[in-house]
Amino acid sequence: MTPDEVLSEVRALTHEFAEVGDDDPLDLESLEVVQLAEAVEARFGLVLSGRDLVPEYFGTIRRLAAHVAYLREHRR
Amino acid sequence: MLSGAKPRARKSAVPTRRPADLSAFLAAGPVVPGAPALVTSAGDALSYAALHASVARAAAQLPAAPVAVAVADPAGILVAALGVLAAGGVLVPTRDDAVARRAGAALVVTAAALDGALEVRSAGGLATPLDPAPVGRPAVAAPDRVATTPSPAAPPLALDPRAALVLATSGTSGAPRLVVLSRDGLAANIAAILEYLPVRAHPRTAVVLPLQYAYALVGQCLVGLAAGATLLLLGDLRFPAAQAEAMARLGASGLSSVPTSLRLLSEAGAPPLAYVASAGAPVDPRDLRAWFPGARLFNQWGLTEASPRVTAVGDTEEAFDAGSVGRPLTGIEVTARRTDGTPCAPGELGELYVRGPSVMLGYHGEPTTVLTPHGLRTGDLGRVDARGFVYLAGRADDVVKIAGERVGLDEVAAALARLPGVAQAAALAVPDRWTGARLEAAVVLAPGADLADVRRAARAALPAARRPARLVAVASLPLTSRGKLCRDTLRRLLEEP
Repeated sequence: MTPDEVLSEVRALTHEFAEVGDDDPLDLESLEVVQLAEAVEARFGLVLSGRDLVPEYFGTIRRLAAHVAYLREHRR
Repeated sequence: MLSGAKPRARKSAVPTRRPADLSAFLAAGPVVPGAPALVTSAGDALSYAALHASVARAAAQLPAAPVAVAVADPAGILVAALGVLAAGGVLVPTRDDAVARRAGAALVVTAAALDGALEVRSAGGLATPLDPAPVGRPAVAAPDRVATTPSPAAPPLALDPRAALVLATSGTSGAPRLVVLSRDGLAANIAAILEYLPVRAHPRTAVVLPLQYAYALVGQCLVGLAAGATLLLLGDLRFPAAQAEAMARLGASGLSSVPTSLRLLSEAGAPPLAYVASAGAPVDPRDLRAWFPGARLFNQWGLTEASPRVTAVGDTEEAFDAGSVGRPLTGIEVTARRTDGTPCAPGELGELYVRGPSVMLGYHGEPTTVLTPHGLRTGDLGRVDARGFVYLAGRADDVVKIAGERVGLDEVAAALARLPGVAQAAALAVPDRWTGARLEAAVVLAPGADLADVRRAARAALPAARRPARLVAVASLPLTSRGKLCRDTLRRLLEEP
C-alpha cells in the first residue's frame, strides 16, 4: 500500500466521523477518538496503544495517515 | 473561564425557599481537612464551603421543576446539577432540547460558573421571559417567574413526583428512552457504593468519563461528594495521555471508568493508584491486574435503570479472578430467570432481574414493560452461583453495549432507513477490543442516491454511540426465506474488503 493509498483509506475511515479536509483540525469527542482508532486498527491490522492516541497523531487526517504508515513500517 | 473566587451570599428581595436536603449527595465538608470538593483539569479548586454556597446560589435561580443541564465543562455541570437538586427540581442532563421538553423541562442551563452564576434559556430555543445572566454575574430571574415560563409545545406528561434525575438512554424504539430515577433510589445506591469503594480512604478521585452517564454522574461524582472526597474532573480532556498526565499532576488516588478507557490510561502512563474500578463493559480480570499493578481492583455491573450500580467484587475475592462482576450491593437482589419467569438453579444461565430501592421509577411517557413483578428485567444474560456471585453472559436480545451505552440494532437500522436516499438498512455489532462492540451497517441506496450524502445525514441524525463506525452500500439485504434479516450472511458481506 502506497502512502497515498493509506491516506485515502484513513480519509474514508475518518469521514465516517467528521467530513473535514486532510489538514483541518479533527474535532472529535473522546468516544469518537476511540472508535476511529479501532476502525484504523481493524482496517490496517495494527495494534494501537494509549500512547498513539495523542493530538500529534490524531490531530488531522494527514497526520493520522502518516502515523499509520509509520506503524505499518515498524510494528508489523 | 472558571474562577475559584468565593461567592458572596446573595441578598435580594426574592423570598428564600427552604433548600432540599442534599446531605445524601454532598457532604458538609471534606473527609481530609482543607481538601477541595472539585478540581478542574486546569487545576482550579473549589472548597466544600464554596461549593455549598455556589449550589445555594444556583438553586436560587432555578424552579422546583424539571431543568435541563446542557453545560459543557464538568465542574459547571456539577454546580448546576446540585443546584437543581437543591432547588427541589428534577435534573435532566442533556444537550438535546427535544429530550428536555419530553421530560417537561422548560428551562435549559447552558453555563454555570464555579460561583453558582447560571446562564439559562428556554428549552424551546426561543427567547425566554428571563434575563439570562452571563457567567460571572448572578441571574436576575425570580424563581416564581421561571416556574410560569410557558412551554412552547403541548404540555408534557407530568413526571413521577418522586423523580430527581432523568437520563436519556437508547432503547429499541426510535427516540431515546427517558429513565426516571428517584431521589431515595439515588441516595440508596450512593450509600451502598460507599460500603465497598474505598473513596473515603483514598479521596482524590479521577473522573474521566462524560457526566451525562449515570456511571460518572451518580456512581463517581455524587458518590465522591457524598463521601467528602476531592473530584478531579478530567472528562473534558479528549485524549487518554492528557488525562493520565493530569491524574499524575493532580495526585489522583482512585479511578473508575470503562475497560476501554482504563486500558488506554494505563498505556498512556497513568500514575500508580490506590484503587481502580471497572464497569460498563466486560473486562478480563487479568487485564485489570496487568494495567494497574498494586492497585486494589473492583469489577462491577450496573445499568442506568438501576441508578446505576447493582453488583461489585473486589480483587481479594476468588470470584474476581473467575470473571464475576460480584454480589449485589446492600438492599439489592439479583435473580437469574428462565424465559418463563421461573427462577434458575444456582449456576444456571438465565436473564438477570434486579430488585431494590435504586431500580428506576420507569421510562417516562411510555409503558415500562421491563418493570415486572420479579423486578427490573435487565436484558443481560447471566448466572448467579450458590454464593450469590453474578457472572454475565451477553445480551438477551439484539441490544448491544457500545462503550457502556445500550444500543438497539433495530433502532439504528430504523434510524438509517429513515434517512433520505436510503431504501433499506440493517445494522450489526462486531466485537471490539476497546468499546466492547462496534456498529457496522449496510444500506440499500435509493436510485440515484449517493453514499457520501447518506453518511453525512447519518452523522447529523445519530449520536456517536448509535452511529455505525462503518457504513457500506449493498445491492440488497440478505433475507431468510421468512423475510427476516440474516445477520450471519450480512456479517460475511461486510467482512469482504
